[in-house]
Amino acid sequence: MASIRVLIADSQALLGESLSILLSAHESLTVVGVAADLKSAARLAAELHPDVIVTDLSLPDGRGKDLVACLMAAWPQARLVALTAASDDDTVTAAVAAGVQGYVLKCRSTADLIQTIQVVAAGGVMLDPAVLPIIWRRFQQLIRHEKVMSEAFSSFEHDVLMQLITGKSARQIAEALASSPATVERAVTQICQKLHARNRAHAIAIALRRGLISAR
Amino acid sequence: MLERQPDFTLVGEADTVASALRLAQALQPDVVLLDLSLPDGSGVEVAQQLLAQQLAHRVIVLTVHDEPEELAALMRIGIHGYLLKGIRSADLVQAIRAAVATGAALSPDMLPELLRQYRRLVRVVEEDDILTAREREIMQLVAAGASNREIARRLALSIQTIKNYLSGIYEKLGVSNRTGAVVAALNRGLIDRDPKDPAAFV
Repeated sequence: MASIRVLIADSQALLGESLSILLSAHESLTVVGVAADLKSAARLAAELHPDVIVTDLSLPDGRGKDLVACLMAAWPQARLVALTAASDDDTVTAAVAAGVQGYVLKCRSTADLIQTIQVVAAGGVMLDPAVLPIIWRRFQQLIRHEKVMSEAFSSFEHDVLMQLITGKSARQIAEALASSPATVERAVTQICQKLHARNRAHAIAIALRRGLISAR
Repeated sequence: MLERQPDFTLVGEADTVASALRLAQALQPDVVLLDLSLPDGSGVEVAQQLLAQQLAHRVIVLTVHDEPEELAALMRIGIHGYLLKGIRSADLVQAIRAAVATGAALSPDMLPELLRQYRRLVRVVEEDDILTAREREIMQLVAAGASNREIARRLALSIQTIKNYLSGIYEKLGVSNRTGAVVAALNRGLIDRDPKDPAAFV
């Protein structure tokens, strides 16, 4: 089996270098580069085309989902393993949402990291045992929220929303729906409140983003 | 197999929806290991009843399916584990312990699907003005009836910091007080419905 080519990014040079030696000692891994900041990590990723990037989620010049997006853009074929001491909800949910395929806490062993690199390089995903419960709870919150959103509108409000997107005025919408402008205005107010939108344009943007309506 | 674990006690076995609910009611188990394919009805329904009526601390589903819709439906209900049948017994034991300790256990084969759905949900639901994890954590405690002092102690922050967080939360949710914020956060699914153990504050 061809060796897995790994790029390491960690702001602590000592850790990055030690990790490079530890991983290189493993027969299935080759460390192709070590970077201490995001800029050089992205440059090395674009130059060296690593199979896997093992990165801290906080580098001197970037962090979190922006860091993940930057590395993914630099070399889109790379698979990402977050190696971090951070296991707070914000860091975890953002990194996983941004697309890391592996997540290993720094308190784990080298063997755990190597296993995650191997799984991820083979196209799989692997999360630290402490990370799964965080994603699980957030998933459950989000999916309930989605249900609330999808049930929120009355059919009249939905119709009004569909008309709003075409740029019609309240009067025109009232005509189209055989209703009165005042009723339409009330529905628009309701829609804005339910979507927590600042105005009707914002409401349309939110509704489109959530897939509540589609622009045809 | 499970009985051989020193920290497990098998308190009952059921083979129908009716008997599962009856036994759970009578025995109040810590964990229900629930096979979704029962002869007289849907296991999803059983899971819903068990969780809605708080008949078990943890509900772990064992299924032959690996259908995305089934996973989504069960996650919405609030299950604590989703395991594919054919799981090795040692892994099953470990998964049950994980579900008890953390409220989450998943067959590794299902993780890509969980993450696929998770990323879709994040795209669909998350807005620019949604609460941060810290704000949700605070609202979760507020919803459970904790005072600012208790929240401050729990999160190792000052009372003033908690107050600052709360005014930020009120603004984001468009409410003016504590009760309004709890209602809005619940309605928008930003926090869990089942309150945490109040004893955990002190």
